[in-house]
Amino acid sequence: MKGFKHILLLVMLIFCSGRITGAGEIAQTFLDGIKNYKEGRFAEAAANFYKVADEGIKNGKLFYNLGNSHLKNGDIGNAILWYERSLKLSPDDPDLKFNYEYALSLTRDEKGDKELPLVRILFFWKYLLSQTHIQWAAIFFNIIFWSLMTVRVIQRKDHFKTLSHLMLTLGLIFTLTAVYNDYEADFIKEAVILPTKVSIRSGLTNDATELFVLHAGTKVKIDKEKDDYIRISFSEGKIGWIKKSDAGVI
Amino acid sequence: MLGRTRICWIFVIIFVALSLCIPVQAAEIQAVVDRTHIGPGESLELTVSIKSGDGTVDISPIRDFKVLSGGTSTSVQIINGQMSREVNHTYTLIPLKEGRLVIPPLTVMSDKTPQKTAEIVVTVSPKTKEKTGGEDVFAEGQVSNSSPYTGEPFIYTFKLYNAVQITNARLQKPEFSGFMAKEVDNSRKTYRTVMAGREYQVTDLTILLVPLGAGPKTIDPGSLECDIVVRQNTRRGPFGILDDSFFGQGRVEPRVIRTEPLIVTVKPLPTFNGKEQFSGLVGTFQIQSDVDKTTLNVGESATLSVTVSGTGNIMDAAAPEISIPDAFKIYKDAPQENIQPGVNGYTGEKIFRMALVPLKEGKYTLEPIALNFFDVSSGQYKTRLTAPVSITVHPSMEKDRLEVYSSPTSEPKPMKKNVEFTGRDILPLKEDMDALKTQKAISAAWFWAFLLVPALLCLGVKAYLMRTTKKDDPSSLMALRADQALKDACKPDVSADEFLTCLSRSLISILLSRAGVKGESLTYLEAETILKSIGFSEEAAKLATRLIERIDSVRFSGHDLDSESRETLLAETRELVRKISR
Repeated sequence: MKGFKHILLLVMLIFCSGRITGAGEIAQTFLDGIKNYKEGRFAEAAANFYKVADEGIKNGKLFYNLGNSHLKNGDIGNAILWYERSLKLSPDDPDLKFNYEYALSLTRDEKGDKELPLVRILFFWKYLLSQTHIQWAAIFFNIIFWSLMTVRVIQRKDHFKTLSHLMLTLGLIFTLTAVYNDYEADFIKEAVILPTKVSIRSGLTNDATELFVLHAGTKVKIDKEKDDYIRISFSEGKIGWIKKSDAGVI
Repeated sequence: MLGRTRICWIFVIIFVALSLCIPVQAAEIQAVVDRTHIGPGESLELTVSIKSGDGTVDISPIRDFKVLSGGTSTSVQIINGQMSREVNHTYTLIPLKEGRLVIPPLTVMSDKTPQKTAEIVVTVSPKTKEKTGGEDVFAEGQVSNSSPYTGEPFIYTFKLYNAVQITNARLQKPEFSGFMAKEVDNSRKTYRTVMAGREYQVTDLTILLVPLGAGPKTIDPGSLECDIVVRQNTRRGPFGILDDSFFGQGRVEPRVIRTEPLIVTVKPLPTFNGKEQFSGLVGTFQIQSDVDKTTLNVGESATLSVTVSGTGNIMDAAAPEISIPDAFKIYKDAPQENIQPGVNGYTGEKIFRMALVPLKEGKYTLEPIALNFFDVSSGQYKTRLTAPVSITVHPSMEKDRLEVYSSPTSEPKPMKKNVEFTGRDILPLKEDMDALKTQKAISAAWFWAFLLVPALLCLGVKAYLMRTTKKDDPSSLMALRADQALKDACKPDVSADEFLTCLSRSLISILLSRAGVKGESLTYLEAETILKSIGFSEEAAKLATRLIERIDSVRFSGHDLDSESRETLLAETRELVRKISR
């Protein structure tokens, strides 16, 4: 029994030390990335940040650094892809918005389907808050609403009527936004064109007719996937097939 | 006639018999090209032959060539009674670069069995610098200035030479990265020239370029995809006329014609040491100023026009610095442009207008306006000045002094301008170590759990309260009593006195229930107060109290109660109980 305890302790120690070493290595790789970036070795910096991201870390700041490294390295496609991924996690980061706008100014294609500014104004919270923040807001207002309802039930009086209605409305707005965000993440897939220039073709072969040409950094919607190809939609009426490797899924 | 039919049948039987006699064997695959040495832009023909079978060819591994499908043909041969069948897949390949290019092994799926062809190496010889005149079609790019200054416009010309007929020409212009490019309107021209004794038709396309920064810049090759019409060997004799392309005897051969990349060394502008600000203009420019009125009264306006004209990056001209006396208020107008791109660069003028309104009488002189620009012909900065302008301002014609609204402070305010970027770059990296923490969104299950738990808790509290308060709560007890009294009043064998007692008890009990107290009786005033406290209006409360009074008066007066009055009283009481218990 004593021997078993010792073995168990040893296994736990090895496990813990492995985890600590792993975390230390990740931090060191991240710091190497920053150092390489500052010394102008942008490709190496990007490789360092990729190594960190490959460990399964999903963080807006890390993705922002990847976008910066690619942009400085002249790879607009990957820069915009990583900025887009970062925006999903940190939509309210001013540095990110600034760099993203700058990267967009370097792209060559006009936006296909332009989003109406009215939509951005009416549903401003969707574009200002991350999915996590929206979920927590929905939970917060929901808890407040039900707490007020509980007080009313206990006291048997119609207290806090206006406040209850306000909390219910806010709770519903944020709950519906969270549900739409989930739907968007699952069913509306978008991608960014990665090569400098890519031909959008009518079929799933290299010699299919070229329909139109897109350039690095252009955002498209993914309609369908088949074999090694995806059917993309750039704007209404402009759809076609490209290789999966030519587009990065956001 | 019968004999002919028989002969046909015999042939069919022999053909089928021979077909059946073909030994079943694995298909033989072979890939061949018609040439292994070609020049840039020339095409070659790749044929993949599948003997004794059929199949599909995967051409996706070919990366160094643009592949155009040429179709499929089938041939059957009978030699010494042995019949063989061969399927040929033909492709036209156009090289995408020069040097040693490889057609990798191609996978052919025949009878569900993959087979690979052999690798083929094709040498694409580099284009000779000097045009010998031997090529049918070629293109070249030319620049009017291979070492311009930053901001100095110059011309790029794409020239296409063709000695043979071409069709379906599709031009792919170079990228022109590092330059601002604009095609010169109506610049496409066609003429004929003779090179090395051969006559060519030349087509020019002119593009105006403005370098955006200093240093060596590469203009990528421009390319033109086209089909060359190749005439077949003509037949002599009376049928020679049928060989004319009009009769469809010519065939087309796809080609890609490329220009050589061009290197342009963009020189930086020397350091400017002048007193005034450098305008950013590069080229040759003039400046002149003009005022529409040199004599005016206080409060009237005169228009000052400053015209910057010349050749160069005139579109970048900003409003020059103009020193206007403090006695004038200034209202600036949007600049007017008349600029055309031409073979000599951007030429035209930009006019800056402003309205001047004098606030005081007197004689004023507008100082000469300076324009500093970089003159590319001399390689030096030059300054042009306008002539000074004198303006005489007389007192206002109106008797009363004209009120010209101006800023309340006596000190002149600096002119405000839009803040514009003077340089562009991205913001730095994020170095916080929290970049290594995963930002987790709440999973859908947890999210819905968080939403449902408070609601369930609330419902639980309500259910608990309902269960626990039923037994000893005065409100519930009195409500039950009111209900029971109404039920008793409805019984058929109940006497008139008992009926009225039940109605009265029912109303008093429901009122006490709403007041949250136990009891047996209430004064009319108390009843009215309770009714008002639970939201009844004064009038409704009085009506309700009157019903209780009516019941009591019938009850204690000893009058008979007919069945109709009984029904009316019961209905009114039931309705009032329902209203109070809401």
